[in-house]
Amino acid sequence: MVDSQGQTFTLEAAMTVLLMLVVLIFLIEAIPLTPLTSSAANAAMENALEVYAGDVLNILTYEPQYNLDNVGITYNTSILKEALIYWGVRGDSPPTIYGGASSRFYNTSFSRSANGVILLKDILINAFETRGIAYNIDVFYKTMNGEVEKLEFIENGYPSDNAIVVSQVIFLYVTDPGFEYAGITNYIPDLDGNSSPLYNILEIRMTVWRM
Amino acid sequence: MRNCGQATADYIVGIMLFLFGVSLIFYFSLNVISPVTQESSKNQYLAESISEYILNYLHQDGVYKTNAINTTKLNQLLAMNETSLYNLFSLEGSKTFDVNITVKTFSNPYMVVGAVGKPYGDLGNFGYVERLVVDYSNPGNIYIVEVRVW
Repeated sequence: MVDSQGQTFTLEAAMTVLLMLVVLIFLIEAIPLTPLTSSAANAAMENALEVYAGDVLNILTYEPQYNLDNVGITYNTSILKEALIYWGVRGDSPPTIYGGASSRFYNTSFSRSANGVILLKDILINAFETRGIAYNIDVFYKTMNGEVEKLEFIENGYPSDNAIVVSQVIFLYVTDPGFEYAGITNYIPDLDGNSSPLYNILEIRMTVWRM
Repeated sequence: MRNCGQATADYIVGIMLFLFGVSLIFYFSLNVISPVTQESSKNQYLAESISEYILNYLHQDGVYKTNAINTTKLNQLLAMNETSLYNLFSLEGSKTFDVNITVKTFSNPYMVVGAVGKPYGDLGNFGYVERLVVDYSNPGNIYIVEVRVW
């Protein structure tokens, strides 16, 4: 006997398989299978991490102001800027610190063991590493022809799907304390020559994810 | 016997429309269902809001970073009674949830600087937010502000 509707039944079977696959994909997307899976279900966790990482970066880029009530406001260098000023004077290429602040590369990556540099280490270890949080810190700067390029400052590896990114813009001036140590300034240009105290504008981008 | 076994075009179009409808529902229901299934979402949102209020309260005037605080205000906060604390972030007299705010030192998270609000024991379903603040006059003094709502 010849079934005249064979092709129709085959088409229906194919569609049924397709529907079942869609259901499977939906379930996999909806449920975080591993801690590193990005999913709408763990959005609250990612929000909390974003707030926390934002706080850490805010503190690292905080420049204490003195004489608040007087006309002459003076600024002190932030912890992160101070570390960048003393960073990477040893070689021709910027010595990226692999493995985070507790790695052996960290201690040898600065030209001077300033208090601020040590403070950066303590903050990164206490805020992230003791809590099982990995992080990358990248520095974006402007070149003379207006393009934006990246320097890798501290790297923990390739971020997972649920990583979050926070960023802050900081200004580098030739009048910043310790500027003469010429750390990061070995690799980035003075945007306007010597016509103003502004040296370059840096965007600090911190990528954070749970391990 | 029919000599025309091929599916007709309108049948295929019908199936395509049906599949499009199914994919649309799957796509939107994923975003609609997931946040609601978080049991502690209400408390979590409350904790996040209260932590913002606390940071605004502690913030040092004239400093542009929201995390830079005045430690005198921090001490005032920790000395508050429960009523004064609730007046910071809720309508006068209204209290539909319990709050505990604990401040610890960042360098040693086991050292509690102080706590205010209702003491917490074994909490089942609570919202929790952890914020970092810094003494505006001394960036080496960093504190952890823990907000729990249940």
